[in-house]
Amino acid sequence: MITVSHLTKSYGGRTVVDDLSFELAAGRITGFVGPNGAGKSTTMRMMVGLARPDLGDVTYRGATYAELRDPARTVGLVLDARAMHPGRSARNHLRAMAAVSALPEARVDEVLHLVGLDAAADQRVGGFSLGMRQRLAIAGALLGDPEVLMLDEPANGLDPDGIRWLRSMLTGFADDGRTVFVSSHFIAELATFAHDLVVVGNGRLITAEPLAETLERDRTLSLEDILLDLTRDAARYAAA
Amino acid sequence: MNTTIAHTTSTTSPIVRDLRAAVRSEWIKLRSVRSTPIFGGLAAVIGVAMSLILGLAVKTDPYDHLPFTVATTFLVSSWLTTLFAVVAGTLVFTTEVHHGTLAGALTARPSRPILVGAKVAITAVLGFAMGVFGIVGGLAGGLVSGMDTGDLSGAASGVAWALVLTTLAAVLGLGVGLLVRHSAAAVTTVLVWALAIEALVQGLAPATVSRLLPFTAAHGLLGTRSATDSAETLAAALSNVGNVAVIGCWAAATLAIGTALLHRKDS
Repeated sequence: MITVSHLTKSYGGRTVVDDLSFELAAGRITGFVGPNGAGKSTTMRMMVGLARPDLGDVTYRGATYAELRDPARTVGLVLDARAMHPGRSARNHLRAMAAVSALPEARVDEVLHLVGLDAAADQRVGGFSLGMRQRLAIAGALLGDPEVLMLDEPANGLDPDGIRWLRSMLTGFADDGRTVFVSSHFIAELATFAHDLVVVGNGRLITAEPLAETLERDRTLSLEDILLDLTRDAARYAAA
Repeated sequence: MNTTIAHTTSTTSPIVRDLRAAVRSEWIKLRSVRSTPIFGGLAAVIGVAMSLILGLAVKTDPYDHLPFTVATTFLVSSWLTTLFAVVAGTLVFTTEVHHGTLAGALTARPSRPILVGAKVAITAVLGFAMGVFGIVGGLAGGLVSGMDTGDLSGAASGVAWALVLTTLAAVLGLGVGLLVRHSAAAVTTVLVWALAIEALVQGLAPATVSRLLPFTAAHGLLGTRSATDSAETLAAALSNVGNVAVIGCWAAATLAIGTALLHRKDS
């Protein structure tokens, strides 16, 4: 169980996350949705200690992220698929990640195989497409065989086969009794595998509920339309 | 086909275990990018080039008018190697910020002192290796230029101090990188400080103050002479141990402040 309690964060006097609280259950895939600038990425960064909340905290079965003995074995993370040294090979990128978490090096080849990058293992990341980087980032998240997967826009750049693979992988992960927390703008895709939704706007919680309940709000509308309706007043950036 | 990822039950203290893991990761990072051999190669090339220039073009020491020998020239490039070691040290950290890989390291090991400690160890190795390559290059260039070997009896201590210097210089660079975080800004800061600000301070402040500047101490450690050195400057010169202490204090201060900033600022 992951508990997010009253998270609040301001930058330069602007509150980007405002008293945000929700819980993530084991064995469930929770979609994290909201318009651009809603505070999703900042929330995720606070959940793993990369940003310091002004108020509130996040606990993983009662322990804060900093208190986790081996964070990579608890939480697998993809916050930015571009966050890789372009001159390093995929294998060396993962070797460095495995080493810092004291994970066996044999895991590197396993996760490369799992994400379908065996053939590109020794290529420099600088030559990778966004989809390949995304797969490599997911491989990094899986290195520690974690209890929780936290992914920020993991479908960006993936081809249809990759999206199908991602869906199946996340579903299998949750079926193992583990927790998946995934932010995405691909609402129709999210609707095919998420169990719960956390909807935010302007840094505030709009709703946290099972997906089925969200769909029940208006059976004549798609999930995308329902979410657009829910976040209409919270959209900081909207197309003309 | 999952490798069993067992939690270790070793009796090693968690700090030692975490530091060891972080050092191993930093070592893999250092070994797996092209800039590392480039920095080593650059140090060697500069060593060769400076000895060749002194042996084939300049030929005679302008201060004591004696012909250059291998013994008097093979450490001359260490000053430039020191500058490059500082630059390499800054890049060890700033490239992590630039490519976004710092976040991955910090989520894997949230303890900032452990991460910085691992980087210090690896950066020191880099600085030491650059020093070795520079000195070997200097020796090779001297021999190729046809200079006399000269008196090499004091060479061992000269080599030792030069290697201490390039090692500390890289660590100082890491500290600057932690403070500035941006590659171009950090490198510019180092070069402007080394080549302009210290010269300015030397002109304005008494020698008892300017000797406490890091690159002035570096010159002192290498025994570099300058036509502008006054009797006061020479009289105020620190011992080698004193010069090492000055550079070490600057490195420690930048690292301590940089680590504190890393702890306080969002990554």
